[in-house]
Amino acid sequence: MTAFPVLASQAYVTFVGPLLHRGANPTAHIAEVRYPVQHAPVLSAVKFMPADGRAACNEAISWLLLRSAGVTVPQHAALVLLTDGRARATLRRLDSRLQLLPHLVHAKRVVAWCAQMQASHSVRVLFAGLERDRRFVKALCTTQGAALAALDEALYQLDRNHGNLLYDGPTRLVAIDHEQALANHPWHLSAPPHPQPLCATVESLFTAHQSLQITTDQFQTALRGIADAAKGHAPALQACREQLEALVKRLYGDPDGAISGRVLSFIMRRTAAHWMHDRLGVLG
Amino acid sequence: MIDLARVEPTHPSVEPSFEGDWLSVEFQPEPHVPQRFVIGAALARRGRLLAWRLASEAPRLACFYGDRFAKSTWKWLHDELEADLRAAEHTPVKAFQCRSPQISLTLGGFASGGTLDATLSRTFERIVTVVAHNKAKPRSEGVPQAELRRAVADWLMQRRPLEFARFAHPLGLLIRQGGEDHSFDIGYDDGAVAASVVSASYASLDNARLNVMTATADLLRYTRIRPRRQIGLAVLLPGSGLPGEVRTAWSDWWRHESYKYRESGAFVLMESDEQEALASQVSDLYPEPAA
Repeated sequence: MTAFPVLASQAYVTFVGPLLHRGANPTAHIAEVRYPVQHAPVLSAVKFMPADGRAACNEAISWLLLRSAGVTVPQHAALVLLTDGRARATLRRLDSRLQLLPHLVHAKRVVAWCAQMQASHSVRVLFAGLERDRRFVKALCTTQGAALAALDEALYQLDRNHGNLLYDGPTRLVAIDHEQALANHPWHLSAPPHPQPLCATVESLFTAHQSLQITTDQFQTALRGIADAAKGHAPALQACREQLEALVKRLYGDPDGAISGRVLSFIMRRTAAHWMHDRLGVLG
Repeated sequence: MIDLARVEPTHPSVEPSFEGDWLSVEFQPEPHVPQRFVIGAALARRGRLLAWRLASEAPRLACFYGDRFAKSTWKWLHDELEADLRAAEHTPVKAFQCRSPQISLTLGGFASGGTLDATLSRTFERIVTVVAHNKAKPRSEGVPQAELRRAVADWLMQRRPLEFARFAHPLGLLIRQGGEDHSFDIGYDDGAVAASVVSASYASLDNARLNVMTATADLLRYTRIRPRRQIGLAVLLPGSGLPGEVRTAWSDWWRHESYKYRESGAFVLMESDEQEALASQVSDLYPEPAA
């Protein structure tokens, strides 16, 4: 099983320019990145992550699981270990006011999450006002949307919103920005909890139903879709488990497997058979 | 706690022979109208101009300005700018001053690449707006191998999402030994069967042969290092979109080569001139595990 790519600074080939819609991470920009086995550099969205590695790992773990579950993800993704000099120069080009904050640097290196640029735009960019909410909910009611919502709940993604759901028609969705997966908990220090409330993605369906944006029929169908999509989670996790463990070990050392064990325990519980059915109160 | 100083990359990265900055050469056709077009790309190292490439034609300017755009004026502008840049070679970019106030150099950002020319070409393709880069594909166009492999991987991922990661290695296979990673041109392996997908759909027979031979060599050597029950080669044959003489040259060569593959018994040979059919054959190599 090929390891999730962790690449040296040389893989960051060219700074291209700012991302039009940057989201919460001010360091997000476009660059050409050379991924393994690719000869030509690939236009990629790049963002610098805190040096504790957790947010970067969250992105990689989510990418691995989503891909394993058959959900559309950027074809190429990697963590790149930039030199702090390169990172500073990049930020200067992006915005002269941006500083390379201390929490982004360790041992003169910066961890960057890189993923191939997608052609589509987010729901936030494409639609405005009430139409934005309507399209977001409508997307979640599709088969693809249900698969995404199921994985958001399994990974307890805290930050799904109009800005990080790319939309190229109702049946082509790409979920990005998984920094706040795994309950945004410092799992490298302690085991992540299993919060009682549903994740924001699934909660938005409940809200849409309560506010009559969707009918009861549509709501029930969406929940059943999520529960059905979750049936594939356990095998998907099994398929990428080795890569996930290897990535955590590579970044954290983790000789006794305690850290990767925490991550896996969290996800395994939430991807167990019938877990989603019970969670949503859907008859299986 | 993470120690980024100790984290080793999973894959080797090639040390670029060029590192510097890219710049855009911009032209403002009307001094009183703030509309600029990128007419060239330049590279600098340590702040000094090193290389540049200007668009020799500007069909998009002709679109914009119609009768006001004259090819002779463009040629004059091009030649004058070329002379100014030549005079400014190896001098600080910040000090560059073109004789025309309508021309400016704007710093883009960090750039690197295997060679100066490759970096310049890539930058030019990406930023120059006055030429049409996406030309209509010629009728005689094959299927590049990278594109074929992506298409096959996408097809497999759609149809076998739960198992895809079990046997697919879109990034190729690596063997790590002595602190070094050695890559093999093999896209599929489940521990029992290793296979590679190659494109023979090229206008040049040399490209097709190179793809076949590279994958064959790596499969044979890999299976000596990591014994496999079976190895497979999936070949996309030149389709009807390619000229007759290309397909004839291929079939003359492949007739003998495919005989050797089949009769040797060393390979499972899969062939098709359609990507989906080829992907389906690859899928058959990796049956679903028994429940």
